Amino acid sequence: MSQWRSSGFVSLRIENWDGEFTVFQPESGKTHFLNEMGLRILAMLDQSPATLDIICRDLSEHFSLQSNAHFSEQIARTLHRFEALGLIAKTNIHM
Amino acid sequence: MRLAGQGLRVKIGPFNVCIQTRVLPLVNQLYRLYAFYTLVESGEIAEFHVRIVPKHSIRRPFARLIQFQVDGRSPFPPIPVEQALATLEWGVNLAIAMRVNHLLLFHSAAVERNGHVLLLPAWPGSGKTTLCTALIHRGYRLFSDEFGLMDPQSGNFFPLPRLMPLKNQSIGVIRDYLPDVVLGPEIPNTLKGTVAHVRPPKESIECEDKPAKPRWIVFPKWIPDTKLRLEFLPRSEAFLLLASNAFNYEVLGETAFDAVTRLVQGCECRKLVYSDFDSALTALNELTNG
Amino acid sequence: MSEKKIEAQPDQDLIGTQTKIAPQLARRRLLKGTVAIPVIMTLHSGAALARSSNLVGVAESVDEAAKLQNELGQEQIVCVYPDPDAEHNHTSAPPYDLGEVPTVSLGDGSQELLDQAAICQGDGGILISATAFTSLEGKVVNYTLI
Repeated sequence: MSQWRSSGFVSLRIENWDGEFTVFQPESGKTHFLNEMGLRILAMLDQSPATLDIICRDLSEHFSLQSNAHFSEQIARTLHRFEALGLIAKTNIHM
Repeated sequence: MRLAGQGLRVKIGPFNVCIQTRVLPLVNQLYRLYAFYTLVESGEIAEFHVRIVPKHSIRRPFARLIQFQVDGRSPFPPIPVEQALATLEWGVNLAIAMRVNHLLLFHSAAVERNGHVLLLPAWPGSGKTTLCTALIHRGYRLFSDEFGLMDPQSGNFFPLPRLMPLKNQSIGVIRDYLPDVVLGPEIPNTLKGTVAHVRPPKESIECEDKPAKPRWIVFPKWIPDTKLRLEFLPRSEAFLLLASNAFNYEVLGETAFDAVTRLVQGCECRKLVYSDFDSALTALNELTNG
Repeated sequence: MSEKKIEAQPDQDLIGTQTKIAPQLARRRLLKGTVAIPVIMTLHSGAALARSSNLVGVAESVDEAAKLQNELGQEQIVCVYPDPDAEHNHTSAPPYDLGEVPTVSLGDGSQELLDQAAICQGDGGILISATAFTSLEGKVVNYTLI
């Protein structure tokens, strides 16, 4: 089983534009544009590592959405994008 | 004489450009179109050394060709002598775009009114050079039709009043709208079609050392037969458009992120859809009043 | 920098995460209205030079010019040709609009790179930097030999 943790969240420069966010990532020198849900994932993982299920549960509660398999797939893809960009990293939990 | 010898050192905004050529048609054009620029002494440093030199081609022995050189290098292949002015102007722009990294370079026209800069960033079909030409002949001061030159620390914009290349239909449009505008020769068959250069107004060149703070960012778009619209633009969109159209945003990294953030936060952001100059001018005058 | 890469993002991605997307307003608005999915777009810089019209800078030397290797391991210079019909761009920018489908030739790998470069330029072509070629590569339909 794996969970996700944030990577270098504290070093990010984040500007809020009425619920949309520009994020400068010093490590890569890149600027990203995130919506509220995108940023919430990063912020949540900065608080503590979480599994996909926990992330989905938090998001569906916070944004009043129904969490189903499709939603979970989308979030999984997002997490892999974040990982590819070096914004988060995967860790394995040994049960 | 200096053009043919050591080169003519011309001050254009914050840069000194040393131009050297013996190509006679170009010499004559430059004397007319560069008439208002300040010449600098040969002892002063020139940031760019450019030359237009005659070139012979084995493959095209009867063609009169020239080649653009910057600091001794030839980034472009030889082209017909008739296109010398267009190549010189493009070449200097390319050199600025690729080499200047102490300033943040937006791909944008910039003009000044009432002491503040109005940025008109480029996006496809914007016709920014054409609109810019109309504005600077109606009371606005030219900073540049191509580069928004921003000092990322102070937030000041610097003028870079260079010749402005009108293209194709825009040439006739401007001739009709501004009969007194001083234009260079129409140069056909360039990579951009027919090009004719607008000589910047004398007043703009005389004030080329006066930077100004930005206050308005207007994304113009020319759509024929459309009613004028000047609408609010969310600042997040303005950020994305400006940053992605800057020449050196990524090179400057966090400095650029901060600078664009401050710029957008401090400006009124609009998008303008227009089809005629008069209504566009009325709307922009209203925006930039006081 | 690569508009092609941007356009090549499959639209089905719109229901998922967006990365490496040019901030095109229509698409952004579409995303903005969609709070039910996480969105991330990564800004592409250097776009002013490349933009939609494929304006490219030119390599200043053979060393920094884009090259490919042939099956014999020989280096072939990448030679691109400005689009003779380009006039669609109303903005002023540095030269060399390569058109929607760039014309690209490769040098003869058995020759010295300098000779290949000279032949390219003599043929009306230009050398572009390896970086510029990276953004262009996806648009090339086929390569010919100079």
